[in-house]
Amino acid sequence: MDNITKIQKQTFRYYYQDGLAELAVGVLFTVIGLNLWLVSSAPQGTPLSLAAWIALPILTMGGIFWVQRFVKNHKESQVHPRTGYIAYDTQPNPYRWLIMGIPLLVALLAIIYSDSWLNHESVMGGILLCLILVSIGTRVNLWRLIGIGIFGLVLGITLAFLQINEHSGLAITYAAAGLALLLSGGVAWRRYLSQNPLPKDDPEAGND
Amino acid sequence: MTEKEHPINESWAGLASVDKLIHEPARLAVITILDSVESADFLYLQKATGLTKGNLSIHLQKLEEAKLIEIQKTFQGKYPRTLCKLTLKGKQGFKIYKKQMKGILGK
Repeated sequence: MDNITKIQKQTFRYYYQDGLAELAVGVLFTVIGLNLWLVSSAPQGTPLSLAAWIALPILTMGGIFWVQRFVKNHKESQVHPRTGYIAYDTQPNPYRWLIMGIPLLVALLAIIYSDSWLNHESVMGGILLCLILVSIGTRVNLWRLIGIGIFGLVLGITLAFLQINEHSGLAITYAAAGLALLLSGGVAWRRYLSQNPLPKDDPEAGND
Repeated sequence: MTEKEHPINESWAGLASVDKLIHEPARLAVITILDSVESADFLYLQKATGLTKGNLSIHLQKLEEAKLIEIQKTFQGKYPRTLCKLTLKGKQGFKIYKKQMKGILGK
């Protein structure tokens, strides 16, 4: 890889290397996983089951909003004063629909045309997780994201072979991936804080 | 034949026409970073390039004078923030520079 490409990848990786985004997404996936577990285990038709179903979209949408706010606030207060600020290009990727559509199409085709282990929620969940994390991980050269993506896929397939209840399998896949992200994000965040102490004075002092 | 009668080999004439303002390693690193993002602040550029504050300031000043970057001084909370952004001239200049270097290095 030439030096210019290396520098550019390092710039993209900066957003992820403190581990904050992983931490927050890990919390969200774990909570969603627990909610899915409730959906799968609560007796059908009971208020608990109904509440769990209603909570799922609320938790997902609210969780996405919370992740954005959490990461933004902590980056402003903890990261930018230590290692600086980058505003990433806000121009939408013209291929974003393709990037999002292909994994969904793969999942849909697998549901329609498969007749055995592939047609299982945990496998679909694992495939989607793997595609998302591996694509981010390869773009920014973060091996831990790639590793967690592959872990999610392997877990999803394993759970399908174990013939666990559909919703339970998906719940375990998301909760396990969430815990893995929490752990790796937490370690990365701790390492970031120890390697980059908060400056005692104005970080730009001396820039005239 | 004297040196004057032997011009630089045409294959290497391109090297002489490369923008020396961009070609300087520290400034090249700054421009490469700014080309990848909307903007970056002084602290990030300093950490990423490893330059001292004074050294980086001088390079940013030269790039600003050549209108390759824009510098905006703002505040984030109680801390001042110097934001740097590549201008259109800077983006085009960097694009030309990369093309020239590819031609010279044969990649």
